[in-house]
Amino acid sequence: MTIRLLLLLIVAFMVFSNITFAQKDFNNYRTLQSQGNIPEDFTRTTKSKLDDDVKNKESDLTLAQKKDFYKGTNYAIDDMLHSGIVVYGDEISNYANEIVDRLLRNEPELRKELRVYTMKSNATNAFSTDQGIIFVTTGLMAQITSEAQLAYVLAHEISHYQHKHVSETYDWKTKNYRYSDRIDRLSNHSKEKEFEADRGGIELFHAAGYRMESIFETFDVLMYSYLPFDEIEFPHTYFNTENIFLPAHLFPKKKYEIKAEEDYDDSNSSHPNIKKRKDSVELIIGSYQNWGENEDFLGKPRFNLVRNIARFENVRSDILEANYGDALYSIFLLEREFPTSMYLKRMKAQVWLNLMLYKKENKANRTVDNISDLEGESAPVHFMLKKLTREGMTTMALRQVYDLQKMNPDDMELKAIYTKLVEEIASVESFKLENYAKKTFAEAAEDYLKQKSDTTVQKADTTEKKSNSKYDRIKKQKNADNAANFDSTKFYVYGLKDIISDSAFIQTLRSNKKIVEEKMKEEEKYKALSRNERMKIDKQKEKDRMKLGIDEIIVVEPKVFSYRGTNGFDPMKSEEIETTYSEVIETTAQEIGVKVYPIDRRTLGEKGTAGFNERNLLISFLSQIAQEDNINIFPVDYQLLKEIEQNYGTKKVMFTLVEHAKSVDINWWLVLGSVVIYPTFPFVLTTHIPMAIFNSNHTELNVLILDLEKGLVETGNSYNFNEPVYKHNLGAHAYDIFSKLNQKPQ
Amino acid sequence: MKSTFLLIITSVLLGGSVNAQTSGFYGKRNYIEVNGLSNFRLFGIIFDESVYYKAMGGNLLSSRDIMDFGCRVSLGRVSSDHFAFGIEVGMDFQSLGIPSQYFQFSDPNSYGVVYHKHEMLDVRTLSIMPKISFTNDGGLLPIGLNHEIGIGYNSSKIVDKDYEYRVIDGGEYMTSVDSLYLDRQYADYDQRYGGFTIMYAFKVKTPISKRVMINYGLRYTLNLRNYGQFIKSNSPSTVSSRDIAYDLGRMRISNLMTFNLGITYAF
Repeated sequence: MTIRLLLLLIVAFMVFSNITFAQKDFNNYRTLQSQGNIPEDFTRTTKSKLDDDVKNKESDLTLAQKKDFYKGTNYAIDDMLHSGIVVYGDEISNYANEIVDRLLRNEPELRKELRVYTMKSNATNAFSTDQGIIFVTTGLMAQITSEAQLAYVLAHEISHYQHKHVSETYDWKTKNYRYSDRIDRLSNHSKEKEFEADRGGIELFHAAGYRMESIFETFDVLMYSYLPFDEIEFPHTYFNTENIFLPAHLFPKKKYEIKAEEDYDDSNSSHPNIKKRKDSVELIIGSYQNWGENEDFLGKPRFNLVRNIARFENVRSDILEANYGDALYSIFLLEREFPTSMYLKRMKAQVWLNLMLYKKENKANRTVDNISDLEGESAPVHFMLKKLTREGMTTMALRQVYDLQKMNPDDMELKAIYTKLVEEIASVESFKLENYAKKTFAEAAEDYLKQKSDTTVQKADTTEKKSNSKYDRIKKQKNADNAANFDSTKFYVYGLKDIISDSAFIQTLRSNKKIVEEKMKEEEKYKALSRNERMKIDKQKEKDRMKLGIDEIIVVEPKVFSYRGTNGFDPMKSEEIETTYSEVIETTAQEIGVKVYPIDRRTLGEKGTAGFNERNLLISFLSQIAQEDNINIFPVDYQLLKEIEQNYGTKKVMFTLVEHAKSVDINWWLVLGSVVIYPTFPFVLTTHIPMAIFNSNHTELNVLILDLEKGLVETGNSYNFNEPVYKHNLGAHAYDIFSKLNQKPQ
Repeated sequence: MKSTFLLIITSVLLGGSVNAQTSGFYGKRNYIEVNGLSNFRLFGIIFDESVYYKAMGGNLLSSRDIMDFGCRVSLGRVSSDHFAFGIEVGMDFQSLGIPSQYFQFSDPNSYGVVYHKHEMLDVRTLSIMPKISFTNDGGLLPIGLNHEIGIGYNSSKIVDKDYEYRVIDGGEYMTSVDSLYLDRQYADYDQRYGGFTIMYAFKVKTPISKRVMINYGLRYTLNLRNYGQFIKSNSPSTVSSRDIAYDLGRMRISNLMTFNLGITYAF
């Protein structure tokens, strides 16, 4: 063995050790990423999985049913695996897999068939598939209070797998589709399977040596899982600093009670209600003796570490899905344990910036819960965000982000958030520095009270009123610094005392305002043009829409949905087209002279985990942007996206989606009408019908170009055409797209 | 004529070169298209009263002119993603049925009716047509579903050959009854019959390589007769070029729809 090889082994061992045992740096937390070798589940094509399953899986289904079942399930699973939110080899997946090791220590063959992956989702859920994959959500992990609870959930899912409940339910559906009350029947059937999975799960759970009480605790977790991961009173003073004060009217006067009950109506549910499950479990556990006492075989520190990771992911997922009320409350909860975490500070700044952006578009209500839905301790956060006016939200966002940035001047992400916020504030018409007081809320309140009680001042004021002009008096009434104008409902007026005298801020704001004004002038000029002139400009803009002068671009593999007549979506055909389209994208871009960096699920075998993680980040970025069309959201994974940009040397990312359907749309009413008015029939026969046949291919090709630096959709286009999706049809369109992207706008 | 043709070709090929924003088909914006046309004469079958005879083994067999054929060669240039223009030349191969009776005059006031069977006449129509192609907003010419509109000129001619005909009843002016003749005089074979054509077509061009496309579609034409020339003689006469012109016009106007299949080569 050479020294070099030995060194490599040592380095590899060290890296591996770090991966396995490293403590997480929650101060500079980075979203959960996959680690280690990429499993086959992520690299094989859906087609090859389907072929294998049809050939090798034992089942009572007929061959046709097997094909249909495995086609549907493999496609759905692959779709999930590549959705950007599933990770493998990470701390949570490893932890869950180790629990499965314990649960199945007496069944090594069964153990080999199973693997657990983490799904970054705030839904409290876990589910197994017929293919042996168990998904555990970060939402579940964030809610549980012990390893044993996760063990019970996993045992339950393993039992589903053992009993082949997924394929059995498929079989049941095919045999019962005729019944008019099939939904009720399906619900009952599904509940039976849940009870059966509980029975099987308890057997594994008991054999593993976990304590019995954890089963009931798990049901409590499930029942309250719609609430945040903890219930801690949110202090109304949370946002108050020496510079800003949020008055009581912004917070609810009452507590919002938690309404969840065990014995809810489950008639339309796939799962029995918690009470029924507890009752059923109560009976089953009676038949087991010698229950274990342990609830954390892997140790409490390990559990806490994994749960904290899940909770940090909770914040990220809430921001990704624009649930800003929930995100703020989760940040508050985590700050108790991690008060200095830069990650939480960045996330908080992101939340406020994004809230401001949503408020600007009058869409902030979508990001918080409705008052009627409020429950528990997180209610005041949602309540307060609901109550904030546009001015209030803008002020709060500026206050929060400014303070965070001031306290951490070297943090690039906070700097970027602050810069974007000031840019955005510049276009808020109602944001005027002169509307803000040069004193804090406390100072203003003190002055007001002082003035009220000081009769001497009143007299002086009267004298002053007499001596000043009408216009002076109006100005005085409008002056926020005038003690007489104090209004506690406009708390925000007193929230920027230090900021409005910060020359750096004023300068940045003014230069941004100038840009906004110039844009407005341009718009006004455009509006003043004649219709023809405007049309000419619009036409040129349309022509230039895709022209970005790009010579390098990251391309995430295309997504294709192919529909075949009445058979609907064809996943295998779609996958085939995706492969073809991926290939032509690369070759045509090369011909144009555009360097393409493909991030493609089909080449993950070569790119490995690094490629998979990059792909996940880019898809998350896309899904975040897709939340709202008109809002240029700040990317939640800003730093990681920056790294991708640096790795590839380009900030442009292309996503493309093709939808294709083949259907002959003959208007039979027209045909029938032409038969009745028979002289018209030859015309219908020779025009409408052949046109419908030749027009039977309906294809829509969508392209989105994202800018990693700006964190927005740079441009996009949708092409509708009546063509099949053969190699050279797609190739020609790809060529056209890259050709335009390569050109610079005129 | 030759220089005019060259001028047209040059203008077609260079016409849109200033517009460098268009990528065409893999960067190729010029294309040459060869199509075979087939016309199922639905309207002809329904409305044409002419009798068609086909010469076979010394006999004249009753027949129908069900299908006509033709070919088109066109040269096009894409000027934007959704717009192209071009020029096409073509040849149609058709048949013309001859009425089974005609009048034969001995003097202006005296005529006899001659009943006969005459082999259908072969007609060749040469056409030239500037045309424009367009597609919907998302389309990318020349591939995909193309709509074409063109206005062109066509010139038909009876093919000069020995047609067979058989006189059934020559009356008092024709002694020979039911004899086989070879005709070189029935029509004026040097006469060209012109007319304008308005065309709309839709065709699907499916690329099979980076240069070649298979195209197929339907073509609707309205062949306008030159009425100044093409008036059926309203006085008894022998078959004249005016009768031929009339019948030709009638035949061509019934060519409303043709199916075309061909290939396109992009360059």
